[in-house]
Amino acid sequence: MNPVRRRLSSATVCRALLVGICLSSAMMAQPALAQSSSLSLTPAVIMAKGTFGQSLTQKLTINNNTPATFRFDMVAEDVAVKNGKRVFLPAGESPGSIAANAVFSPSEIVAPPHTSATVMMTVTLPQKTSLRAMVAIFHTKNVVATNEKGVGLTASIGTLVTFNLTNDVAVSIGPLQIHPPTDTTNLSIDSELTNIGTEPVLPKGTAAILNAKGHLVGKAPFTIKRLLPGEKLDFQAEYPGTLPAGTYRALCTFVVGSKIQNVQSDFTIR
Amino acid sequence: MKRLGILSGALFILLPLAHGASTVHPVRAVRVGVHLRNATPMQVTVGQTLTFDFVPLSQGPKLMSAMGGGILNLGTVSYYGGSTNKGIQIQRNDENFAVTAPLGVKLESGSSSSGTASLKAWLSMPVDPYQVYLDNVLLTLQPTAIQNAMAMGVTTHALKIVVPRSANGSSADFKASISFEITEN
Repeated sequence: MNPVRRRLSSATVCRALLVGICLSSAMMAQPALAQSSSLSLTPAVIMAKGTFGQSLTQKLTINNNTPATFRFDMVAEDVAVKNGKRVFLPAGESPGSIAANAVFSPSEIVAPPHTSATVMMTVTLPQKTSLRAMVAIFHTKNVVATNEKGVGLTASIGTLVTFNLTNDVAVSIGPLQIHPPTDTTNLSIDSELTNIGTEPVLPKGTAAILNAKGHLVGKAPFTIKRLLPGEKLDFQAEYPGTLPAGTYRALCTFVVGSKIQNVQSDFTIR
Repeated sequence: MKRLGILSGALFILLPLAHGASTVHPVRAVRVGVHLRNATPMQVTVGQTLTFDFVPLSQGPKLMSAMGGGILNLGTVSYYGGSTNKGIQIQRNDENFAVTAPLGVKLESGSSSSGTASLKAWLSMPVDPYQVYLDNVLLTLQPTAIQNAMAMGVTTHALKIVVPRSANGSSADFKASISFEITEN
């Protein structure tokens, strides 16, 4: 007998290692997820504009569209940006923490099946902070632990709160990357945008496609994404139309607050 | 007489008061600076509703409803026997084998179908000696970022459980509970 097979057989096959749930009669009695059984949160995003030291009070509503009772702790975390990406930090860990000044009423909440529950959140901004976002999380206490052998799944959901406190709005637009269409993909235009200001922004971009004569032959919107200060993300516009072979120019315009920025690049369709 | 006595007593009391009053310097109104929090409300714009759900995939194992979440049915697996359930992949190594199952997550945002969300996940209980990965990220008891820009709609995620060869007896009974946390970006 193969030595490897001998070593493994007793540890695995003979002891009948069970990973997951056996197809027992008990499990067969539980219904599969035939219809939606979801958690939802309103609002999912709050955008506040003001100054340092101001307070914000907002109602948050969790909708429990499941057959189970959910118990939540309200948790606040700061959202910072490191190396161009968001990180979530416990309240009070960062200097000028906004989440440390968040108060929830109540701080624990129970949502019976197919009901909604509401929490009032009050946030007071520090007099000085470089942070511009926090999340208010309905942190579930539910643990789907079973007697059967399996993987339980449960969910928490949070509201993003952003703060615009000054007029320092600025975005850097990277060079355009143009991917010509193929048999299975559309023409796509990509650009990496970086928020180089101190305030969150929602850049809105449009790509205009001009032919060799400078005539407009098509337009496509860029995906809208929120950029926190220091964050960099790839923005993409996809043009679904057909372009004959030839030379074109992509003229892209981004509106950031009251500022308009343009970037362009030529490309060829073969 | 009594009235006079009372009256004179009252006068006696009042006169000193009047005298005292004449020596009290009038208080000049002084502006006192009081640091108050800015009471002006902030301008607020709110987004719409974010909805989260676990969904069964046509190419994946069954997903049972339980306690407001779900139980992913991986069936019975073994190193040589493979899996009894569809959608489960087994990767065999010398020291262990990995069980991988697709897991469906559905996100809906009332504000946009092209938005994204941040996904974190963690284990609600220890799973030693096993290891659990979600989208190739090792899960621990602490929340870990899984995806920074999860798309709206139904997305497929890879749940992988690494089973050591040394697992036997009671340690072969695998139980795990995974918590997900979603925040719109």
